[in-house]
Parts: sequence; C-alpha cells; structure tokens
Amino acid sequence: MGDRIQSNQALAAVVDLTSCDREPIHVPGQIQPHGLLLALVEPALTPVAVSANVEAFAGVAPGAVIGAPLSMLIGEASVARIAAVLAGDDLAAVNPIAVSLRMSAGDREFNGILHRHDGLTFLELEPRGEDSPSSSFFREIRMAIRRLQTATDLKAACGIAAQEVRRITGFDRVKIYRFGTDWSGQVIAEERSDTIPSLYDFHFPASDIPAQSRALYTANPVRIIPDIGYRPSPLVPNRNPVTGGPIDLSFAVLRSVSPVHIEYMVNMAVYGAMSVSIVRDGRLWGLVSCHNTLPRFVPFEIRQACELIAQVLTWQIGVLEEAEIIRHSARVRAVQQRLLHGLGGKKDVHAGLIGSGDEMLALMNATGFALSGFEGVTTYGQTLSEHEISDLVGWLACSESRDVFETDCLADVHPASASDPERVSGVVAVPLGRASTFFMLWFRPEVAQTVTWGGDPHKPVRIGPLGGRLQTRASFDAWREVVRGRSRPWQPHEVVAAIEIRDLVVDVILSKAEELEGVNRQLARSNDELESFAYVASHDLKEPLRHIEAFAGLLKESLPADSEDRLGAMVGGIETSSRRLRALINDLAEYSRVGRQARPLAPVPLDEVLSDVLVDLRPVLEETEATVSAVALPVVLCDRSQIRQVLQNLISNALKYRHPGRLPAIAVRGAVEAGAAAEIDRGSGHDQARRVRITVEDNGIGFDEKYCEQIFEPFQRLHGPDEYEGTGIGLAICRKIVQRHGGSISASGRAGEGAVFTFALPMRTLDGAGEAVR
Amino acid sequence: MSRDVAPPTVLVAEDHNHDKFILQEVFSRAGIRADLRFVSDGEQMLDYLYGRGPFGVPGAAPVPTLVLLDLNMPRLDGRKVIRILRADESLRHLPVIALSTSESPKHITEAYAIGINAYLVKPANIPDYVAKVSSLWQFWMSTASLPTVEVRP
Repeated sequence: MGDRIQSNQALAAVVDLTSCDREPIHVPGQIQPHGLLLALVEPALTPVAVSANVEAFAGVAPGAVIGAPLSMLIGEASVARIAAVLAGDDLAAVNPIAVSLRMSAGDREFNGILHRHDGLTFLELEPRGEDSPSSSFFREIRMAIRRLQTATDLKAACGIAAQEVRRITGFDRVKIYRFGTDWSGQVIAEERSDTIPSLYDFHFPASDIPAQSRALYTANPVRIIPDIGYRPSPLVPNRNPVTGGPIDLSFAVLRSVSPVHIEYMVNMAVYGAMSVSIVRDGRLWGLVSCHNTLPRFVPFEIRQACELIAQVLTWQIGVLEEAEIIRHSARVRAVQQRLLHGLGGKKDVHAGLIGSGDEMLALMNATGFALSGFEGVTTYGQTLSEHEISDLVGWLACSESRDVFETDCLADVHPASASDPERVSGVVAVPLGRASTFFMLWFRPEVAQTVTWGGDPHKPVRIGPLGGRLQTRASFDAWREVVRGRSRPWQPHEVVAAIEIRDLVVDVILSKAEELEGVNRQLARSNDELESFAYVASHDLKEPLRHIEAFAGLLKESLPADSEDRLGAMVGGIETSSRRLRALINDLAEYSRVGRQARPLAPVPLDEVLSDVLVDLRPVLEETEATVSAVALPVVLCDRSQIRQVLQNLISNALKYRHPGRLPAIAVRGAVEAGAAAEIDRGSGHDQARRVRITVEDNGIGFDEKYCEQIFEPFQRLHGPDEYEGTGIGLAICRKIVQRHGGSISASGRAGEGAVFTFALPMRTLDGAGEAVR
Repeated sequence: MSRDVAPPTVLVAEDHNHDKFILQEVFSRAGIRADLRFVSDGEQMLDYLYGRGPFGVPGAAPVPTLVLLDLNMPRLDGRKVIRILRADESLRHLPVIALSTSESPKHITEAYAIGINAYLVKPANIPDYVAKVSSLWQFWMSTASLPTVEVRP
C-alpha cells in the first residue's frame, strides 16, 4: 500500500478495510527509523541493501554501504560475533547480540537482531535498553509466570497476563484481544492507566486485522511501533538480489507499518504500540496488544519477556480450556443425573424437561429452550414463536441429515423461521427419534444484542485523511453489521452436551415405553385369562345347572296331580331360577366371546345391517306396533356381526323399555363428526380426527341420567327381573364391541321421556380393511 | 316286540351319576323296555365289550344292540373309544349314539367324522328329553334295520 497511499485524498473516499487483505504489507520497502536494517549475503556478510537512515546513524550514504565490507559500519569484534552466531544453529535463541556501530559521534552499542529469510541474512540494529537485564527483572518474570499459573479460569489468566505485561513494559493500556472463529475480535481482558479509555469488551470485525496481517502476526509474534508518528526510512535498494523481487520483511522487527493501521492508531490517540501474538496449535488465538498515548520504545529483551509471558498464557489457555470443557462435561453429567432423577419419577418427559428449563439453558449457554413432540411445542425462555418452531422442525424433519442441526445464523439456513434475529439467531436442534418431528431445541440471541457500545458517545471523533471508518466506534458498527443475525457460535463441547442430553432423554422415553409395553402385555394377558376363564367357567357351570333343571323336571312330573300347590310352586321356583341362571351363564359366555373372536374388518353399509336387525325383530316390532326410522347411515369399517349385535341390542332395549302410554318410535341416525380436539386420541396413529356417530333414540320410559354410566356395566340392571326380563348384559356387550372397534358409547335419557344411545366409531381408511378387531 | 323276548341291551358310557339317573328316568318315562348297562369311562366300556375283568363272568356283559356314549369322559374319552371300536372288525358295526351337552357345530361335525351314527344333545328339560329319547328309540328299534348281533361264545 506504500505506493498506493501517495494520494491520501483519493484513497480516503474509497477506504475499505477489506482492501487491506490485498495490501502487500510484508514488502513495504521501508522500515521504522528507530533502528537500522542491513540485508547481507553470506558468507562474506556483504550488505546488499540498507535502510536509508544509515546516513543519520553513521553518516554514511547508503550507496557507500552496499557491497562494502560489513566492518566498515560495525566493529570487528561485532562482525566476528555475528559470523560466529550465524555458524550456529539457532539464531532466534541468541538474539539479541551486542553490536557496536561506528557512528559519526563514536562507536555505540546496539542490540543486533539476526534472522535469515529469502536467501538473505538480516541484521537489524535497535537501541539497547538502559541497563542489561538484571536478576530482579528475571525474578519478576518468574513471578509473572507463577501468577499466571495460579489462574483458575481464562478470564483471570488473561487479566494476569495483561497486568504483568503492563508492569514490565509500562504501556498505558494492555489488552488481550481474542479472535473468534470468524476472525472478528473481542477485548477479553485489559489493564490500563486512567489516562487512556477502556476498550474492554469491544468487538472488532474481522476486516480490522486482515488475513495477511494475521499471517504476519502468526509468523512473527512480536511487533513494536515505538512511534506512530515516525517517518519511514526506505530500503536502498528495495531489491533482493537472490529472488530478484522486493525485499520481504515478514520477519523484520523494524518492518514499516501499513498507513491504514497507523491512521487507526492515531484516531485512537495511540502513539506507541506493541503486540505479542498468542498462537495455539499454529492458529492465531489472540494478541496481547499494548497501547501508549506517547511514543514508547521497549527494548528487545523486555519484548522477549513479554513473548515468554504470552507463551505461558498460551499454555495456560490450553489447560484452562481443557479444564473448562471438563468442568462443563461434569456439569452436564450433574444435570443429566438430576434430569434422570426428575424424569424417571415423572410420567411426562415434557413436563420434566421444561421443569428443568434453567439447567437446560445453563448447560448450553442458551437463552431459550423448546421441545416439540406429541403435545405440540413447549417453550422455555427466549425462543422462536411456537409457529416458527413447528415450521423449523417440519423443515428439519424433511432434511437429509437427521442428526444435530446447529447454526449461529438461522436467517442464512432457514429464513422462514428467523423473523426476529435479535431474539433468536442461533439454534441447536437435536432430533429425539429418526422418523419423528420430536426435537429438543436451544436458542441464542443475536450476539450484537448481548454487546453494547462501551465507548464514550460524546467524545469528539478525530477523523484522519483516510476517513471516518478508521475508528473503534466505526469498527464496532462494522462488527455489528457483520454479526447481524448471528449468535455466539455453538462450541463443539456444547453440541456434545446437547447430544448427551438427547441420548439421556431418549433412554428415559424408551424405558418408559418399555414399562408401558410391559404393563400392556400383562394387561392383555390377564384380560385374555379372564375371558377364557369366563368362557370355561360358563361351560362348566352349565353341567350342574342342567342336572338341576332335569331333576326339577323329574320332580315336577313325579308330583301327583292332586298335590299341593306349594310343592308345585317350589319346583317352579327351582325351574325359573335355573332358567335365569342359564341365561346369565349364556350371557357371560357371550360377553367373554366378544373378546375372543377376531374377525377382519370390512366396509359394511349400516343401513343393510339395520334391515337385517329389523327382520330378526319383526315379531316383536309387529307386536309392539313400533316404528323405526333410519337417517344417513354410513358405510363403516367394522366386524359386521358384532355391529349388528350392537344395533340389535340397542333396538331390542328400546322396544323392551317402551312407554306403556305410547307406541314405540325409534330413530337411528348416522353422522360423520369432525373430531373435537378433546376426543382425538393422540398417538394411536389412526385417523381419529373423524368419527362416525350413530344414535339410537327412543320414546320409551327412559332412565335417570345418573345411571348413564352404570347401565353399561355387565349385569347392571335398573329394573327388577320381575319387571323386565334380561340379565343386564346387552349394553355391556355393546360397549365391549364398540370399544374393540376403537370407539366409544354413551347414553343419555330422561325418566319417562326416552333414551338416546350414541356410539362413535373411528373413521378408518379402507386400507384398514383386513385388520382384525381384538 | 313281545314281553317274552329279552329287552335289547343298551350300553351307556356316562361318567356322571346324575346323568345315569336322569337317563334311566327318561327311559322309564318314555316307557322303553331296555336293558340299560352303564359304564363310567372309555376303559370300562372296552372292558365290557371285550369281556375283560369283571365283565369276563358269563352273563355280565350281554352284547349291546345300541351304544350311548358320552363324548366327554375321564381317562379314555368317547372320541378315542369310537376310534378303537371302528378299527376293530368284530365291533365296528355297533351303532353308536353320541351324547353330549355341546351344540357346537364344530363338535357335532367332528363326532360324525370319527364314525358315530347319531348325535344327541342332552336336553335340560325333562319332557324334551323324554320326547327325544322316545323318537330315538323308535328310529333305531323300528325304523332302522340293525346289524345282526353275534352272541359272543
């Protein structure tokens, strides 16, 4: 950018920090003038380039240095030392080297910093510190490191590092700047004097530190700009004779700074700066960034000490992040235990999870939690609307990947559900089953909503030649713009936690299902046993009964014709009781048979069934002069003979309990009802939303409404056997049949006015044909 | 049928004493002269027919004209007995009338399938029972021609 910056005015209008991405900042062709740079060629150490300020330092024209022996500038002993160091293995380990420069005002000791790059050997001379590092300085470093190692969390460790670096270097402000996964930055710790404003918790967009700057920070961890207001000193010539290109200053400590960066600093009123990279596993994790309101030079040794602190911080970060993950997983396990305990006791997993809502949020560092399941959507905290959740879940259920869904920007992936990104931008959704729309979801708000501008809004803004963008405030706004609709990203261990919670919930649900299935099996078994018992019992009961009847018959015929009426009455009593007992036994057998016979369902027109019933009942219909009307009887999927029995029992009842004062009139009506929500049996899988309802209404003697349940119980009668015949099994059989069809039956009535019996059958699709009722 | 002629022997396999009593009463009320011989299970019935054990004494087991067989008996039940009878050349001609309380079509069909000659559901009501046994007797003794009964040596 050095060349392009010539016309500041022209650039100011179009300054766009993303252009920094293309600025060749590693080959600026110039250095900061507080030191001297020589590019040498080994083995003779002949200078091939020198910074122009050699003239100011040594009173020698740059041209005179090129090609001349190094000893022309540097004392013989220093040259010998340099040659010895270069013969060794590790240059970095021996820096700095004491180098005496032959200056116009006499020889002066400098810190010589050597590195090799691109076929050249660079010797940079920097002013020495006042004193050589004392033992107390090393003690301080040791203490700093020890303090760092006591930190129990990341924030504390960064705070200590900032403190220590500030103590050693004396900068006005030392901040720890952390890169996010998107390379945006945040100040997570800060140590400063009162004379400089805080930047704590400020956010910066990724474009503030562009990719090639980050590359240089990664390669060359310590960077110092002692005086922001410096005049750069050009390299003479800026040409690497080995490569033929400009000289690459990537690893030079004196490398000149991008004008954009300088202007940014100036706008912040920073005139001296230093940074030390925090590099973890080859990735730039963050920076220890130091600012001063006045120019400030920090000698090489102190910078090395800062580098050491940053290095220890890096290790400490690794340890603490690991510890944080371990702590988190311990917390996850604790919550799991509590959940397991809580859910195990509760019938309803939904209620159990929502009841642990705070824990579910804490675990995932989320602000909202939702469950989508049979009972619809249940939410806790700050979530999407229920409608949006249903929509999202529907979309997820159809998506190819059936595993965890995770996004920090819902608007990018499913804009339909992202109506309010400020409330919810980040979503983790974990399916509870493979084929279902059961999901657990966690939500996070837009990250910008969690961060506010911490700067002083009244502070006058200094705008430099490159425009208003080069301001922290503008950075913040730019960052907000970049992160609009984004939440804090979900950490891998958080996603793992969500999966673990899912596994646990699935386990609980499965064990509940197993439990339920066991109970069902047991119920079915005991039901079967009961029914076969009733059948066998009725069969075995019949034999002695038959004997009683036979003996009563023999007795009756043995009575002399002139015997007393009393004897005849007694024998008659035995006979009627036996008959009644036989009827009861037969009904019991029939009742138990309803459950024992399984016939395939078939579509049956109910009007046909009714006709059959009326044919069967013709004698009694004629005798009672009853009228039966039928309206809108549908075709239903059922066991024809069983449904026929239901209709027959209901109509027989209507005739039997006719009103003595009027001719019986019976109305049989059919209707298809759209299921009321309350009647929908969730989870049965059938199309239960629609049911066929049949009513049989009569004008008979009716019954007291309070018996409307009781009359369906087996052998429950509202009348004595002398008033009306029958055992009281008819309606019980009706109820059993209807229930076996997945339906329900009810009765209403008023004494003296009539009764209405209503049974509803599920409207099954014809695919259900062939399935047996059991 | 004259009074001088010995009444036909009817072998009744019936496990229940009440049923034996009732059957005797019914025969008597129907005015039937028959020599009713009772056995209580299938094994006893085979002993009778083969003249084994207590039935080995001469005159203890006259050859029956008809066999009335309760299908549900302890030990060797009626169905097995029929199979054995039908497999034995010397006995397979015996007319066997099944007595049962079951009206189940399945049971009735099964009984005919294994070789009974008639199936009779025991009525609970005495007049019915008497009427049924009368007509049964009428049929087998008058209407039908019976196989010649060989007097066992």
